Amino acid sequence: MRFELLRPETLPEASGLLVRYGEEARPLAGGTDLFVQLKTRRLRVPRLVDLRSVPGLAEITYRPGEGLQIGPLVTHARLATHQVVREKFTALAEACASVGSPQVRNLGTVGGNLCNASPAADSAPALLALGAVLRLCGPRGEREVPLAAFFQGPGRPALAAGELVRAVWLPEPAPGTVSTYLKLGRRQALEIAVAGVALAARRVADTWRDCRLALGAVAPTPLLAGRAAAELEGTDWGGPALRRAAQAAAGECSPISDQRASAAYRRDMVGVLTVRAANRLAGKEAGPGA
Amino acid sequence: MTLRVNGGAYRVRAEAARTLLEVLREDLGLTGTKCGCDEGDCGACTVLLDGEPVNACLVLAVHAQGREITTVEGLADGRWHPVQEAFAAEGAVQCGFCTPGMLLSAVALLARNPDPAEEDIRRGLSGNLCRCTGYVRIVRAVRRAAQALRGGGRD
Repeated sequence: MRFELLRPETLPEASGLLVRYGEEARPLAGGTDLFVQLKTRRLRVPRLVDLRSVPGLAEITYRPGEGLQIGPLVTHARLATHQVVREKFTALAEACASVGSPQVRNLGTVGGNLCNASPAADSAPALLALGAVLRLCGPRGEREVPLAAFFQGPGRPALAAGELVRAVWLPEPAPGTVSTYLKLGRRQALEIAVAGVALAARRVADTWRDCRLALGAVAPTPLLAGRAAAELEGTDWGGPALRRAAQAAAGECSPISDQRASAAYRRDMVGVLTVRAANRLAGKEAGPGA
Repeated sequence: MTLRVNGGAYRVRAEAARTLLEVLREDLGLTGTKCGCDEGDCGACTVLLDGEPVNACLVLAVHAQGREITTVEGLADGRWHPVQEAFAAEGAVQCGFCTPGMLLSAVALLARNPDPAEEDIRRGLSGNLCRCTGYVRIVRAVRRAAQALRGGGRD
């Protein structure tokens, strides 16, 4: 690889460099996507703006009753093992634990995962199901964007020139909320998802409420499956409800056929994973690692 | 710049785009760390940074400053590390190309989990590909090493 490494010491400085150099610079977080793109010549840029020289971007701050703030440079490994994430935002811990390999998880970051904006990014469906909001900062100041509005297409995050993710914000979930992420791949590690499903909900007596279902790797962007969630909402997640939800989810995605799987298979698997996710949360199926 | 490798400090030329893998192999002559895919997909270049396994091909040498780097050359101290003993005893080495990375991932796994179940071992090694052995003897070796390490240290 050949590039100049610019090492700003503040976020405004980093934004300024990105604006100044435009298409000739890219921000660098963990490098697990960017370096691969540079090494395979899918991307050629003469300059990288190193975000790791800016202090304070790798913090995880939990404010009980309010929510969880995750810095953009927090690694997948840390999110997979963080106690609050595992207990209250389980889908995110499971999603981050499914990325790549132990080595990749020690380097790759959640901010990089989102801004690389692969349709198959594992953290995205989990964060969508958990209602994540991104705090962005750039030359025009700060703004908040719900994650659901952040993906504009494959590799196209909704970032203005010089804008960077300052934090990922997850609101405190309603008491009793449970969540999970299921990733289907051709192998169990070092794999890009063939299909990914995240589900979050809470049980109230015999019914499930606040159901949010998100899909990954089966559309140009990660997306919330609102119609499928509506089929789950207020039901007991019995067989008929799950079948309707599975069918709705399969209809809400628009997968492509590629070297990993056909579109038809992906569409089928979205339905299967939806049912599995619900059964896992309802305690009817083994969890990950079993 | 200065890199701390296997307990020693080394001055190397600081060039922005050079990876830790290149600097270890070419500047420091530590060729135990292998270049397999150069993309973070095979684990042959695994080294430990402050005890955590990473793909050296995806780490810029400048980012490794101030961290403790452990390569396979740093495992033995006059005698083989118990993980190396276990790999030899179990026949877990064929061509040997994946072995340095496997050893370091195993060391990191056992430091975190001294009594891993088979699933834990496989997951801990899931970032290291082996084209020769079929992994069975490697998993056995890690279990054997775990036992040896629990059984009272290196003596």
